[in-house]
Amino acid sequence: MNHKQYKNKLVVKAVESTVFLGVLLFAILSTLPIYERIYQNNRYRLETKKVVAKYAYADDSKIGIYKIASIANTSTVLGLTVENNDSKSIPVINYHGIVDSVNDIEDVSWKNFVEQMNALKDAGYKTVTLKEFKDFVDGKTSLPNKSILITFDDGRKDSYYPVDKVLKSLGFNAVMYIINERVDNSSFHLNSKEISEMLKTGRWEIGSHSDQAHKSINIDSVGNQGHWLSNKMWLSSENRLETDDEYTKRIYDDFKVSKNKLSDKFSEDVSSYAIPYGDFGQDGSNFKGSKNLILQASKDIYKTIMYQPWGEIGFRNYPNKDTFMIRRYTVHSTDDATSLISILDSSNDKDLPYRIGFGNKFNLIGVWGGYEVNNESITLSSKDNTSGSLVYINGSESWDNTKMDVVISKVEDVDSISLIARADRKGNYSYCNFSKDGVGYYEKILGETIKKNFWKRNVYLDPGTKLSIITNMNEVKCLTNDFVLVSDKQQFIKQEAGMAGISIWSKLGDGHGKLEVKSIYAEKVY
Amino acid sequence: MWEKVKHFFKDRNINMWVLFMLSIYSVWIFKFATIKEIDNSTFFAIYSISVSIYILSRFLLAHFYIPEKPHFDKSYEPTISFAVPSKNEEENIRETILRIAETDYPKHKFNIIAINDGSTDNTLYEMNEAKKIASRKGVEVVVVDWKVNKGKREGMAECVRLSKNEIIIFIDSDSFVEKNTARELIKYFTDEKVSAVAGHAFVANQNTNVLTKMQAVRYYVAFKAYKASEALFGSVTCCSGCCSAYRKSHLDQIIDKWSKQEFLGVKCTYGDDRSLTNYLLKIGYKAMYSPTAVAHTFVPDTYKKFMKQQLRWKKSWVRESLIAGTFMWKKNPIMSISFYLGVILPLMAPIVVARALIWFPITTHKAPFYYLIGLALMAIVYGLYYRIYIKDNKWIYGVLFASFYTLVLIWQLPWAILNLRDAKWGTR
Repeated sequence: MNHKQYKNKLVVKAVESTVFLGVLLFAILSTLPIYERIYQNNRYRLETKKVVAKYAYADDSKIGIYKIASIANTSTVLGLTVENNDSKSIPVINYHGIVDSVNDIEDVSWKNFVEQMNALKDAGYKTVTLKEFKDFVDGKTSLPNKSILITFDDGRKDSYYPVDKVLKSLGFNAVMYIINERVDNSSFHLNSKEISEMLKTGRWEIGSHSDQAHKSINIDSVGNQGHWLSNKMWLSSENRLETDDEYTKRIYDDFKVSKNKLSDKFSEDVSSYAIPYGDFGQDGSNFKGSKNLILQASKDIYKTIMYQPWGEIGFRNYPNKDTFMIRRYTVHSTDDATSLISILDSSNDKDLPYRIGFGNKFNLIGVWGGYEVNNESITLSSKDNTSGSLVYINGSESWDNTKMDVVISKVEDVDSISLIARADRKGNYSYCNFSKDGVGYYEKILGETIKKNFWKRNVYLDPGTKLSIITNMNEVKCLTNDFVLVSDKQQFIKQEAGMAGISIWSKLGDGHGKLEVKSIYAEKVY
Repeated sequence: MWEKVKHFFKDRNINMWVLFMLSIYSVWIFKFATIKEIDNSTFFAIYSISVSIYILSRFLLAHFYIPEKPHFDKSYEPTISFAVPSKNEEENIRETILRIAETDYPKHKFNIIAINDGSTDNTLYEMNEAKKIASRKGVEVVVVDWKVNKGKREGMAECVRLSKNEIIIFIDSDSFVEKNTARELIKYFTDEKVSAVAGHAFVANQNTNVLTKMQAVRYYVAFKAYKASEALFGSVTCCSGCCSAYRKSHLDQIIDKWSKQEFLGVKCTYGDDRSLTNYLLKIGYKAMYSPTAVAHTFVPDTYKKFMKQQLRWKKSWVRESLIAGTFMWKKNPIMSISFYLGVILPLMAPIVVARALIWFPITTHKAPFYYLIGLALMAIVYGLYYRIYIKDNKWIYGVLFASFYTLVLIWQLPWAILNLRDAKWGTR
């Protein structure tokens, strides 16, 4: 063999190998998605079977038995009266990815998810569709107690494949909020074919999670980043921020594009929108009008928008009140099945008369300071960085004309005790403040006490003393041991219903003040 | 027409190639589709993909190896010494020597040096018998008798010292060569840079039992793919002792150092072949592989013997890889990347296998289903590679061997590292 023949042979081999590798690569790339789906489908089918078999809820007759058991259960608690089975409000929970091992707090492990779903079923929860949900918050229909809307944000593969089989076996359904821009453009997200198949199961509905808006953009000349929706964009080529018109157009276009494209692609009426990051400008932006703009634009185009209430209390939605802005609870990797059920159950609207169930931590919502719930008592105490403590009673959001009693059992360095009524989610409320010097009726809005009426009275904050607050229409009364000390009008706080709560304050400052109460009791007044 | 197509396919073995490629395709599809399952950690995912790339790239590189070189010269006929150091080899030594004597080469241009290294059986008698028969045919046989055992390495060195010929071909005392083996080996020495050429060893006792069948496939793939892919860069890392040719002038430069090699303060008594190749590669000489220079060698036929041999090989592999690691980076980039990958991947393998087969099932209560399927697919690729070239059904034992290697033999490696200094299991 001479050099030329040798070289030719090498060239032939190189051509052969290139062709072979090319064909191989092409074959792999073109068929991989098919196999990925087969794998993902089967993988979760096998595993779901194993886990769900334990609960055996796929069998409808068992669900029937469960229902009877659950009614029997509630009737023993409430005595002989038949429970009104209609729900006053509905919770919405939100997930992102369901993953094998958790790296992001917003993802939930698959095992945890299955346990949570089974626990929901176990506790008697039933999922509703978007339409049922919308009719309920519009006040058109009622829903049974323990109705729930389950949502998933982002339209990720791992919030469909691991989830669907679980939903199927439990008879649940859910809503997937899809980022239109990512469909068919990201292997991490569901593609059109998968979404169509998902819709065909009948277990899923879709909503929009924006087109482009699920990302951050430059918002000033030095490269600070902000959320796409809630900020004006920095146009570096022109060295300026967007004009109002450009910003408005961008927001409207994005809302429209995602709605129209998703509606067209999947022949669905996409009328619900989940705000990316839950940020509609409520927490500041480089443009003051962004919140109004986003709310207006979303209202013009969608029927409901979903958000995660940052710095607000509660995640239940009430008829004729939460008809457009829908509050959700985002389930984190740190929630397990037990805590999720507790969070949901304890947030359930408390019927009056109501005596707080001791031992259940979730019946109180700590706003600041510390609290502890024992079998016999509740203790409010300062933390190292607070000179007092404030708690709300979970599920008291629908209390309107109410008398609330608190009986003191131990008190330590407490200079004043406040009973709170008609608190809204943002922390605006009316309250009676009891101190050794007298009684005050105050109203707090946006963290500032704006109404201050004070009467010098003899008040004893000793063990055994019963403190009460009565709210009736716009009249407020502050009582000790059922004796009306003062009576005043509710002035700035306009709402007629709201949460109740207790707070303490110590003049000694941080770390001081502790109050133990034997019972909290609330009843309706007429 | 149909007949023609059929012949076209049959001649080029296209069916097997398609099957082989399909199996490679399924390996990748499986790997990528289940990459999360293999492991969520990036380290293990990278490992899993690297191993597949490493093994498959051997096949690809081997494909580029053309054994026939432009510099071959038919008239090149150097003088040759066959070196056969042996101990307690009465059963095979006569046959080994006589087969060599049959070599198709001018009788005056080669001789055979047989060393009886303190045998306690009739090896010396058999050698002398063979010498008588061979000399009748005009072949010179030099028999050196050592009363005390000095070890194989010393025996090999002695052969080099005694020989006055240009090329030395080491033949294991239990290996049989063919008539043209020597001619095929010496071709490569027309390139001045070539110091060593490995022949292709087939397993002589390949039909004895499952173990020898497995080794038959293992040997075939090790030579045909692994050695060839190294030979592409003139850097065969181990010219195996059973049949390899060396240039005497190059050996002379290192033979004394080599025969006294110490590692971690202990005299090296195993892995002589790998070590000898290493010394020459370090200087910068080339080591080649000739698929047409065939020898038949006997392999262990009991698991006990086999495991002992494998442990010995692993120990010398660790030692010589560490040494080769100091100069391999100077070679062709593909060669050096291959080499370091070939060292690092097996070293990590026990951790990965332990994680997949022990830690993973214990912590997740799931069978290591995906790992085993991935492994099986890779083993099938390995087996089919053999089937492409050798048309018998032993390829199935190749699948078995690849699995056996990953699940069982891999555990010898940590043990071998811990016992590196223990010279107890010297060669023979």
